[in-house]
Amino acid sequence: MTGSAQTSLDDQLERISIIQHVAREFFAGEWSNERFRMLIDSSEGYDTDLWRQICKLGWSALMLPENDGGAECTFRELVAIVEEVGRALAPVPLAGHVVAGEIARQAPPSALRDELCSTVTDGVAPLTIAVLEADLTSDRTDVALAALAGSKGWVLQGEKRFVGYARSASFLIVAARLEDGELGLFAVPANSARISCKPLKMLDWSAIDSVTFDDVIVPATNLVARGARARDILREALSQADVLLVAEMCGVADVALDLAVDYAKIRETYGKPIGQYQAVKHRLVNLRADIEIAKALVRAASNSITGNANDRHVAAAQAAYWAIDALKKVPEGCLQVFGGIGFTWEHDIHLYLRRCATLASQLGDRTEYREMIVGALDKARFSSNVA
Amino acid sequence: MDGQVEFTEEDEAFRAEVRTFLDKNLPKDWNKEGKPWNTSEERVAYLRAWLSKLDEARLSAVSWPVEYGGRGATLAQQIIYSQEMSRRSTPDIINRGAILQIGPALIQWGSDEIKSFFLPRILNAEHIWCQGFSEPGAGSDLAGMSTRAVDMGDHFLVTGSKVWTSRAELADYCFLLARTDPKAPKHQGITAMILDMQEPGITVSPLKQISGLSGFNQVFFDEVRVPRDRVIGEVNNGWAVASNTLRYERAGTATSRAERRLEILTKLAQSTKLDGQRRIDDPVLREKLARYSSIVQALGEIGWRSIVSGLKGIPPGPETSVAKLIWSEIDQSMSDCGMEILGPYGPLQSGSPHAVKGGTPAASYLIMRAATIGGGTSEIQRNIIGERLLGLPKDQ
Repeated sequence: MTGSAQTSLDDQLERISIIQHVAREFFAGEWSNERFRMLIDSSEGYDTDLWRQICKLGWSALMLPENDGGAECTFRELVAIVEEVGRALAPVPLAGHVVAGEIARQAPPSALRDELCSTVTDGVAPLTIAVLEADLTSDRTDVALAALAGSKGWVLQGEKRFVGYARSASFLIVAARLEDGELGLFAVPANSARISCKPLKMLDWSAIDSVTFDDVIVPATNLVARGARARDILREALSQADVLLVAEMCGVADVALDLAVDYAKIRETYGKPIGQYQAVKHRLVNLRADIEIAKALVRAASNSITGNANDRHVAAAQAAYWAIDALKKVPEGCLQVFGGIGFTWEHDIHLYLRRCATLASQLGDRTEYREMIVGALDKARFSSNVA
Repeated sequence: MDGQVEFTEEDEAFRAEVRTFLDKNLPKDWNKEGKPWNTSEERVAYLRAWLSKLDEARLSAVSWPVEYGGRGATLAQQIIYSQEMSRRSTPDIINRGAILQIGPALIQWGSDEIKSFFLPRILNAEHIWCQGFSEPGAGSDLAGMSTRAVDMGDHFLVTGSKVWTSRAELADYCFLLARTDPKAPKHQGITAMILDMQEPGITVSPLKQISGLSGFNQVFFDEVRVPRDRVIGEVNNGWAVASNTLRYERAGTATSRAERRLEILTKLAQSTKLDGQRRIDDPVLREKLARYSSIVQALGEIGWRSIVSGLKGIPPGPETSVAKLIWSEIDQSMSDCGMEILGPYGPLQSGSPHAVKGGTPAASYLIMRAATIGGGTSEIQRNIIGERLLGLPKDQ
C-alpha cells in the first residue's frame, strides 16, 4: 500500500467489489439450489465440475504468490468470494483449500514444496486441514495425534475428525504432536498407505470426514514446520479459517433474509401482508442488524489479517463469537417468518438453516473466542481519564 | 483501522503538530480525578477557553476550508485529528454542533457578511449556538413543524416553540427553522434563519431530566424579530438547508462513546470483587463483555466506513442505517450492566458515602434511557429501517 490514503483505499475497495461481483455472476450462472438438492446423499458430496471451473478461474491459488504460480491476492479478496460461496450454497472446498495452501507454502524449499504449490494452483484434488480430534480442546493447537520419528520418516498414529473434503483431497495438512511434545505440521499425501477415510453425515450434507492414521509413514521432508513456528502458522491458519467460515455464513444468512423479507411482503394474514405487522417487521430488522454486525466484523478481521495487525486474532475471535452468538440464528428467525411452509422439505429455507448451523459448528466452542476477546480487554491499557 | 489507510509524511507532520499542541496546551488540571469545575458556569467558561485555545492554533474545525479558519484537512488528517483528540480524552468542544452542522450550512448557503461575522466567532467560542429544529408536536416528523415566521418586509416575526434545545440558556444565536408559508406542502414552506437570542420575546424554560439535571430546554418565541438578511439560503428553501446539516453522519462520535463505555465497564469489572474474585473473571459476565466488545468493534468498522464513504460522496450503505439502532441499544445495555456489576453499590448517587466513581454508574443508568428515545425511538427506527431499507409495507 503506497501513495495517498484515498487512492490506495479506492483501489482496494474497487478490486474487492469487482471480484465479488464476478463471483456472484459466476455462481448465478453455474449453480442453483436444484443442483444442490441433487447432491444430497451423493458419494462425493460436492460438485467436482463446479470446483474444476473455480480452479480454472484461478481462485484455488488466489493467495499464492505469483512466483509460486498464484494470483497474489490478499485475504480480503478471498473473503469476498467465500461470502458468495455462502450465498450460492455452493459446496466447494475453496476456503479450506486456500488456507491449507497458505500453510503448505511455508514448507522449506524442496521438491515437495514445488509439488504442493502446483497442487494448490491446479486445485482439482484439493488440500485440506486436519486439526480437530475425538477429544475437543478449547485451544485447537493442542492436538494429540502422535508423530513418532522412525527409520523411514515420521509415523503418524491417531484420528482426525471433521476434516473437510478429505475423501477427495491430494494432501492433508495434519497437526500432530511430536515426541518432544512440540507441535508439528505435516503435509501428508492422501493416498498414503494405512490412511482410512470415513464420510460423516452432516446436517447440510457437506463433504466432511473422519480420517484414521494407522501408523502412516510420512517422509521426513513432509514436516512443514515444528515447534513455535508451527504453532504460529497454525494459529494464523485457524484465524483465517474462522473468518472465512463467518464470511460464508454471512452469505448464507443474507439470502435467507432476502427470502424471508420477500415473503413478508406478499404473504397476507387478516387482510394485510405480514411484513406490515411490527412483530414481523421488527424481527426482520433485527436479523438485518445481526448480519450487518457480522459483515462489519468480517471486514475488520480481514483488514487486520491482511495488514498483519497485532489485534488480528482478537478481531477474528470477535467475528467467530458473533457468528456463534447471533449470526447462526438468522436463518432460524427467517424460517419462523415462513411459518408452516418453512417446515416443508420442498421449501429451500431449510437448506440455508442447515448450512448456517453446520458452518457455525465448525467454528467450535464459543469459550475459546470469549476468552480471547475478554483476555484482550482485561489486558488493554486504557487511557487514565475514564470518568 | 491501520490496515485501511496509509498516512503520508505530511499527514504524520500534522499528527506531530496536534500532539505538540496537546502537550503544550491541554490544561494541567484535565485528566485528573473529578472535573476541574464545580458549577455549570465554570464548566462553560472552561470549555470556552479550551475552544478558543484550539482556535489560536487553527485546530477548532480542521475540516473547514482554510479561508474560514479551518485547515481544509484531508480525510487522513481528519482521522488523525480525531484519533489524537480521543487518545488524550480532550475536553468537549462546546460549539461541536455549530462546527459540525451549522458552520458548514453557513459556508454553503450564507452571504459573505454572514460568513465573515459568524464563522470566526463559532471557532473561538465567542458565540455559543443552539439549534431550533424539533418542536413539541414535530419530533420524528420534523417537517410538520408549526413555529411561524411572518414576513414583515425587512424582517420576520417568529412565534412558536422549540424543544429539546441544548444550550439555549447560554446561546447567543439560534439556528432556527420556521414555517414561512403555511399553505405550501410541508417540506416547501420552511425557512432557515439566524435568530439573536438577546431579542425580546424569548423565554427559555429548562426541562428537568430524570437525572434531576437540566440538559435541554423548551424555548418559546413571541413575535421575535429576525432581520431579513439573517435568512440562510432562500426563503421557503429551509428544508434543503436543514437536510444538508442533518445528513452529517454521527456514527463516528457515537462509536467513540460506545468504546469509552466499554472501557468504563471493563474497569468496573476489574475493580469490583465478589467472593474476593474480580467480577471480570466471572464467565457469565465475560459472555456479556465478549458480546459488547464484538458489537463495539463492528460499530467502529461501520462508523469508519461511513466516514470514509461520506467524505468520498458515496451514499451510505445499509450498515449505516442500522448503526444508530445498534449503538443506542448496546450503549444503554452497557450502562445497565455497569449497575449490575456493582450490585448494591450501583444505585449510589453523587455525594453518597461509598459511591463508586462519583455516582456516575447510577447517573448514566438514568441518562442512557434517552439513548433509545432521542433522535427517534428504537421502535420508530425499526419501522423506518423495515420500510426504507427492507422495503416492507408501511404500517397504516
